[in-house]
Amino acid sequence: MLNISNLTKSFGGVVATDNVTLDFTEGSLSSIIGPNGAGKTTLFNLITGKLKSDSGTVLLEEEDITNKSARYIVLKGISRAFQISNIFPTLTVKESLMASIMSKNNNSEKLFSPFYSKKLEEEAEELLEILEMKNLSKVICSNISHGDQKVLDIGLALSLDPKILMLDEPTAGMGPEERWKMVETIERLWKLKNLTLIFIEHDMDIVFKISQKIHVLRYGSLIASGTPKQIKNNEEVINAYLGEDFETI
Amino acid sequence: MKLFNHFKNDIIISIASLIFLISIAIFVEHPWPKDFLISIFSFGLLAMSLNMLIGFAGMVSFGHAAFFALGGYAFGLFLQNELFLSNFGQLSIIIAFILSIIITGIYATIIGAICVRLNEIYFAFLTLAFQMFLYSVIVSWVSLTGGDQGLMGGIARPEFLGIDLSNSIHRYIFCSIIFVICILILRILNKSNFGYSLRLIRDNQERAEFLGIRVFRVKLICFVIASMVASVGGIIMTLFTSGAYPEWAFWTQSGEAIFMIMLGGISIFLGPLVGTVLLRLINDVVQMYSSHTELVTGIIIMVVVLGLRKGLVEYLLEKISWSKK
Repeated sequence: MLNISNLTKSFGGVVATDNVTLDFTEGSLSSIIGPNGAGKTTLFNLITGKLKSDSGTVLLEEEDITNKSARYIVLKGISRAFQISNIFPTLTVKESLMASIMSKNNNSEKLFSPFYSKKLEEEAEELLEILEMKNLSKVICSNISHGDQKVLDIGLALSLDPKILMLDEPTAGMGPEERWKMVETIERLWKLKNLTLIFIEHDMDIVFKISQKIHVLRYGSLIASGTPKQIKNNEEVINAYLGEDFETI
Repeated sequence: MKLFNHFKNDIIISIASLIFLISIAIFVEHPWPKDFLISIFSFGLLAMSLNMLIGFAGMVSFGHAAFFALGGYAFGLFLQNELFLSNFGQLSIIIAFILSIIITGIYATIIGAICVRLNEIYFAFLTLAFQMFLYSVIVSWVSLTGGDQGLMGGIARPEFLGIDLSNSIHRYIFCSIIFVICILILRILNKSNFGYSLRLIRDNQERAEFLGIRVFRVKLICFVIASMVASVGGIIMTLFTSGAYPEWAFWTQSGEAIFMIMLGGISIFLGPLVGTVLLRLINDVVQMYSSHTELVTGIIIMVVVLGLRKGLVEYLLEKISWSKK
């Protein structure tokens, strides 16, 4: 579904993404792991149009979307949530979802049509239900907890009806209990919406528990790809990242 | 009709305030309230339209008065032109009015296309630079604009549809209608889809982009509309003073509009209008007792800004909701 081939990006002398070739099949749940500075977020930025690559291609369902604008890629069906939750501090939870759905429907430049409409509100409420955030609908986004902000960030991405959802460290900054709740939410959404899901994660327990496929990056290049079992036994990955003591789960 | 249904309350409030404003013209004979209110219409539109940039969209412009001045000068120049007047006769005022707004819109599109790519301080300074550019043009092009003397000699105000704008009551009513319509348009924009796109951009431009909002386009449209509304303010001022003056294009005029917004409050829709009334009142009162107007108003503004932070309207609303609890 999403095919990346020979993607390269460097900043000055540093090669952040080095000749990466990756495939994501439809409906899969894959994770990208690697030490800090391995180029995971850069890879996300290249796929979603935030950064322009130096060379290589990104194909979405056979269509070349390399270096297209963020808007174009979003409309084609790839949406993302961010490492540091990236929301709209002065809007309420419901308003921000409504605004996001409005944008998806291509109504964001209508000067004289009222924002509040029954249909839009209903759609947002439906989404709030899926996210299990109904009780927060009227709260201003900057006043909700960190964990809820992360869920809302995913909700914003989800409101665009994506085929591919990319999550950058969805559990960053959360306590252990909150983390597993988040993981449940992610798995639930993945199944419910039939998504192709790609996420970056540092918590290896989570990665090995839910991923169907794991891709390991180091210094910008892909050092291994495979099922959790294959990755766990991969010498290079153990040396580079997991460490000798990595407990097999 | 759909538009009417959705904005029923706003339209009713607009009509009610219009009736109130017109009744002042009919029942109050003293010229001061009318003169004062016309200046409020004019500068109020400047402040309200600037708040569309600052408050709705988070684009702090230091050069907004340029469009106010451009509207005023264009309108004045049309109505001083014999050829224009003889061609359009009775329709002169209406056509000059529309053309001045369109000219400002075109100018704003060009300036905006350059400025809105930039953010924060860079945007502020570039708008300021373009304003000073317009100011220099006005001051140095003496044969057209009258230079630093301003557009002298009065403007023609041919009667149309029974409206005689040289009559102070007619003029006042005409200006109040235009003013109310402009405020209503701003209100509708504020509550529209577009208004919410602006909020998204103000809150988090990057995220808005990843929701598929065309950030550049939306900001540019906002910039152009705000400029056109500001030009209406300038036109009202030109009608009122029967001339146009280079101070309108000077940066302090933009600064004054920002003061008005800060006095009234940025996040309440009518806040800037309240700020306009306050600043004008302060100006007029201080002028009666002292020749150091700027010093006194400056101190008052500093106290308000430091003491109230969010502006007077928001401060009062907070007080009220507190006392209710």
